[in-house]
Parts: sequence; structure tokens; C-alpha cells
Amino acid sequence: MLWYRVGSIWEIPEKTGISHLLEHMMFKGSEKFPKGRIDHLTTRLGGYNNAFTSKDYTAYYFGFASDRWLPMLQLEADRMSAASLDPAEFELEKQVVLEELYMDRDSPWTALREHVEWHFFKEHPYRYPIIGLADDVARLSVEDLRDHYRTFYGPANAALVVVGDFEKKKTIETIKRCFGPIQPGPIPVLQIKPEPMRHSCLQLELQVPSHVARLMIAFPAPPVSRDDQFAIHLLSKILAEGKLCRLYDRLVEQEELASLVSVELNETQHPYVFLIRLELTRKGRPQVVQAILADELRRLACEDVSEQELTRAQNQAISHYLAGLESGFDQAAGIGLLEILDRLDLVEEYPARILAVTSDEIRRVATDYITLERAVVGFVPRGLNGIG
Amino acid sequence: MTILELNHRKIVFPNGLTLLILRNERLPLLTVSFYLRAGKDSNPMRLPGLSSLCIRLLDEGTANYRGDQISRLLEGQGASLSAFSRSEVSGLWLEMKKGEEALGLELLSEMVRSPLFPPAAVKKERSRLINHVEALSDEPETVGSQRLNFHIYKGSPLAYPLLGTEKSLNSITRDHLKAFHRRHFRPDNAFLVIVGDVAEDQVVGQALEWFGSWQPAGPEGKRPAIRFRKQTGPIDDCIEMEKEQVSLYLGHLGIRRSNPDYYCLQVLDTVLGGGPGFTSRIPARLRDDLGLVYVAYSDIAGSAGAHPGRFVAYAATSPERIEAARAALLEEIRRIRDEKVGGEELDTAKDFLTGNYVFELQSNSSLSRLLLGIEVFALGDDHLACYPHYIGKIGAEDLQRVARKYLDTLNYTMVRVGPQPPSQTVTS
Repeated sequence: MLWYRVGSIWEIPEKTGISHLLEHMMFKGSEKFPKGRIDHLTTRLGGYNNAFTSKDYTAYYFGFASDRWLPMLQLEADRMSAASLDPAEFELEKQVVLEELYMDRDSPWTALREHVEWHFFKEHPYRYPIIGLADDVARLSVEDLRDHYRTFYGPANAALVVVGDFEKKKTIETIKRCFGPIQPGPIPVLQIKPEPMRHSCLQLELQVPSHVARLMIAFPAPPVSRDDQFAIHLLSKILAEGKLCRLYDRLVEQEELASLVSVELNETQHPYVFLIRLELTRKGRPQVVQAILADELRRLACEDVSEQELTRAQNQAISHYLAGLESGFDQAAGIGLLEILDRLDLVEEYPARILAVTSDEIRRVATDYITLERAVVGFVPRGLNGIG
Repeated sequence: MTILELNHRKIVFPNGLTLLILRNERLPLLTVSFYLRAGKDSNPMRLPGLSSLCIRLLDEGTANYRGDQISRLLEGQGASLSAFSRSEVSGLWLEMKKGEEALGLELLSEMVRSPLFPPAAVKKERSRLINHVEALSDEPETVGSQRLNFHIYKGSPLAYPLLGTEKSLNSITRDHLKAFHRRHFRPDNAFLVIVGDVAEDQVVGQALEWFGSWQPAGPEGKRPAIRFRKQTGPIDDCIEMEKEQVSLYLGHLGIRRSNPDYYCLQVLDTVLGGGPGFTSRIPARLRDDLGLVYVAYSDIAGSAGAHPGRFVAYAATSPERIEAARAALLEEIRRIRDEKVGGEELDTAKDFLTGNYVFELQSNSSLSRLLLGIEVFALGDDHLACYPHYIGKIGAEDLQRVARKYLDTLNYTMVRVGPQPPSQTVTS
């Protein structure tokens, strides 16, 4: 799995979506591996491949049986330095990405998320959707793409992760042979002013067709460099994992105001968002749901969580961690992510750090981050445009 | 490449329950799953969603445990429980840490053997499910797939949405749930699959303790036979939805897993629309060459089960490009019928299938599914060793024969979901 330290965070107004579009174009090959060759080789060797772009990084991966993967190193090295980025292919792929963007906008949750993030961040480039804004994507040129490629794609700005049943010495020799001759390339330095902390809750309503009312609440979340993240992980489970979590118990089980509760928390380089999603029932009024949420958040900030609740959240976190070690892909994804974000220590130390969290810390992070005064609340009403 | 053997153990209890165990010590985790040979296919015609509602209510209270006690015991250990119901199978899926298997088996046994379906829980779960059904109706891909089922499986329970409809869910009573449970939850209709870091002998003893005395609540009810009919003419269905894209399905009745042409159709899927990246013809043409779509695929073998699955070709794109996408999909389906697949393309597809199955051996959950499939479809303990031979012997003539036999370019259903094309807009 090859990771590059470039994602939508590096994008500027009018050029949004370029990191993701470049990810698509990397599959169009190079002179040595012309269009179709990457997929053909992958298929012929019985493997899989794909890629993903996030706010902070772009990653390309292959999976193969352990006796046949080495040739792909040459391929990755080649497209790191000599991707074709052909203009005609670029125009076609732009259409593909625009279709992906339209598909995303057709999902009420994705549309709401983009709306909420846009307003949550006023200055920080995390406000841009990873896929970009439609007008920007449509205007991108192949020269823009080539500049982006030259700036960010080089060994000095990348991390390669290999997981599985392989011979270490031979593998390292092959990696050196493939990637060693490539010029290191620049290590871009990102200068971003931190987003000021919000001091009042922003309420948004998005008009998209939806058969159910949807509520999304975005709170600030710490970056992966901050050790607050461990307490926040546990807080997310106390609030929204399983049937015993506080929001499910209050909003779904007791009050029947919501039918679905979920939380999303990502590892990121800069402070990002802690997202709660609620699918409301017909009697679920957003104001009432928010009042209950505020009540639960106040409890978290003012009262200690019980030992039983803390242990349950810790066990849930450790189980997730172990499940993330099951497949080679998941291991490579976990290691690569933490390397890119400079927290490789957590590959080994995560369980101990989770087990060390105290109820005091949960209370502190609830006070510092998860309060409605610092949140952006997005609402999609039920039944717009004749639906319902 | 070494052919890996599963080396699992199968035990059939005197009551008919089949137990499958595979020891996997790589991580201190295990998956305990319960499968029942009854899903959407077992719903009465007027009660779509019954199997889904039934399975979701199993953890809401049993003879010896309240619902919150079950959650407390499982979640307290970091375990996660999920319930599912599909076309012909339903089940409970429990992922836990090593050493919790006794607890897991006891609670699974409680949920499977003696659920109470408490009236208050039935009411709440029904409301949640109705809300979820409404939320799903915002997804054009889901709406289109359901409508395709409606046409393909007309006259059978498989024609209706898995989760039911608001109307059907509101008609389901506690008595319906109890009757469904009595009729279908029987040891001779069920499988218990345990994969992970367990001591085999010990876990067999525990499974016997909790499931050995399980007896059917009554004589086996006759499951109504489902008659499947191939459609005899084209069907064109259009659902208007305020979206940016149109989702397009072309499809018809598919095959059973027991069909001797199953493996040949797996190769056909890989060539036509189900291979990785853009090697298959449909994504290569519609996305990589024409830039028409982000998503396009086809499949026939993937949905094969005890009942016939579906052949489906799918594409989603902007309204002004949907006709081009439809034409390209059809052309590719016709081409694979009309022209023999070349040696290189065929060999690539076969190499993919014989090399890719190793990824099913990585996690406890994928191993559980693999074991169940081998058992339910009687594939034999040597299935993994035989699989490369099944694929290896398929030739270009075989592929063309099955393409002509199973892909119909005349008698198929087309479903479009999204904005209406301008020509069909009614103006006053």
C-alpha cells in the first residue's frame, strides 16, 4: 500500500477535487504500463487493487497471494515518477468524477455532510469536499493535474507499507531497486491558520428530497497528534455504540424520536469533526432531539461515567482494534495511516492508551469538545417536494 | 500456490443441528454465528418483512434474559451482535474476544430457542424498521433493485422488499412472529458456525450443552413451493425520483447455485462485468473508454442460491447520457453471446478467480461464510482444492454456450429510477 501525503487539505479555491481526480488518473498508466495494464496485471495475478483519497492523504493498494506480488512494486515505482496523465484520458475521467460527484449529491447524508463541513470550517481547507466542487472539477486542466503530480508524488512525500507472508531481505532489496533511482522530490510544507473555535451553535437546514428527517451534528475533534483522542474515542462509544449507549437508550429506546444513531470519528492531521448522525422518526422534532442531546452532553461534562460504562467502551475499542488486524488490507491501512500522520507509535500502544483513559479525562474532553455551543447542526426535513 | 485446506470439523447433533468449527488462532477473537434456512422466501405473501422483523427481535428478551441484560452481557465484553435476514437465510452474528464462547453460545441459544417477542419491543422495532424502509426509499439503487425483484419474482415472496413495506410491517402481529419462529426455527433447519481462537473439544461440549436439547416446537411445516417463471417479453419500468442521476437496471431470472454451469458463469461474470478494476468489459467500456459512468457492472453467479438469483447489468449516469449507457450495456451483453471470448481474456478471468479466493481465508467472518456455503450447497470438504480444476477446464465454447443460454437480450426487464428523460415528460 503506497501512501502519499496529499489530500484535499492541500487544495486551494477553484482547484478543489484535484487530489481525487489525480488518484483516478493514476490508473491510466504510464509508458511502460499503458492504459488497462495495471488492472490487467492485477486480474491476471488473481489480486485486487484500488485507491482512496482523504482530507490528508491518498493511498493506492494491491492485494495478492504471497507468491506473486513483487512485480507490482515496479508498477508503483513507475507510476510514481512517470504517470502518463494523458489529456484525452483526463477529459474522459473528469466526466467519470463528475458522475461520482452527482451520485454523492443524490445521497441526502452526503449532501448534508458537505453542507455542514462547509459551514463548520470558515477558513481551513477541510471545508472542501474531497471530491471537489462541481464547477472546480469541471474547470480543472491537465496542466493543473501535472503540477499537482510533480509537487506531491515522489518518494520523499510517500510511505510504502507491505503486510503479509513475504521474505524480508528480498523484499527490501526489490523496493530499493524499484524506488531507489527515483528523485526524492519535494516535501511540501503546508501553512494553514488554525480554524478559530466556535462559540455559538450554528443551525442549518438543507432542502433536499428525503423521506425521513435527518440530523447531523458536527463537534470539533482533536487531531491524531493530541492524546485527547483516546478519551474522545471512548466518549464516542459511550454516546453512540451498541444498544446501551446513551443516545440510543434515550432517543431510540425510551423516547422513540430517532430510529438510527451513529457517530463518526476520523484520524486526521488537523482538528476535524466528531459527527453524530440521527435518523428521526415521524414524531422526532429536531428541537426536542437537540434538547435531549444537550442534556446528555451536560451529563457527560458534569458527571463521571460509571466504571462499568468506561470498561464497556474500552472493551469495545479493543475489540475494534483487534478486528482491524484480521486482514492484510486492514493492517496495511492502519499502519500506513498512522505513519502518514506521524503516530506510528499507536500501532503497538493503542490498546494501552485506551485502557489508561480515566473518567476524569472523559469529562474533560466532553467539556472541551463535545458541546452544542461549539457545534454546527445540519437538518434535512422530511417530505420535501411532495414526498412523505 | 499452495492450496490451503480448511481442516474444519463438522458435527451433526441428534436433533439435526449442524455444527461447523474451524480453529483460527491468529488473533484472540472468534465469530459465533447462527444460520437458519429461512429468509424472505419463507414470508407469507401478504407479510413481506416478517423474517427481518423476527430476526431483529430475538435479542429483545428471552425466557431467561431481558433484552437489556443480553446487551449488557455482550456489549460489556466488547462483543458485537448483528442480525440479518436475506432471500433464503437469516441469522445472528456474534463477534467476540477469545474466552467468551460459553457466554456467546448460551445467549445465542436463548435468543434462538426462547425469544419472547415482548409486545412493547415488537411495536418499537416495527416503527424503527418502517423508518428505515422510508430512509432506504431515498436510495435510487435500492429502489431500482427492489422494483427489478418485483418483476423477476412476480407471484412469490421474493418479489417484495426484504424489510417489508410500511403497510406489511403494520400488519405483522406478535402472533405472526411467534408462528414464524415456531415453524422455521428448528435444529434440523439450522447451522451453528464457530470460527476463531477456541479449543475445539471444549466448544463442542458447550454447543451441545446449549443446543443439544433443542427440539422443534412442532412438526415441520410445509414451505410453500415457489414457482419461478422466465419472462416471455420485455418489461420497461420507470420510477420518477428527484435526483441528479438515473439508475438503470437490466435484468432477468438467473440460476441456482446447484446449476452445473455455475463455475462457467463465474468466469463469464469476470469477463463481462464483475472483474476487478476495469478489466471486465462493461466497466472498461462504459467508464474507462466512454467516461459515461462512475459505477457499472453485471453479475449472474453472485446471486445464485437455493433459489434462482438474478442476472443484473447496472449503470448510473446523468439523464442525458442514460440512453448511451443503456445501449452500451446491451451491446456488451450481445457481444459476449455473439462472439467467442479470446484466449487471453479468458485466461485472465480464470487466473483471477483461481488466485483471488485466498482473500476469503483472512477473517473469521469470511471463513464462516465460506464454511456455510460449502455445507449448505454440499460443495464437499475438498472444495478449495477442486475449485481451480472447475475453473481451469472452462473453454471459450463453454462461455459462449452459457452466455447464449442464460443471458437474454430480448426478454428482460429494464428499470430506470431518477429524473424522467425529457421525451417522457408530460406537459399540459
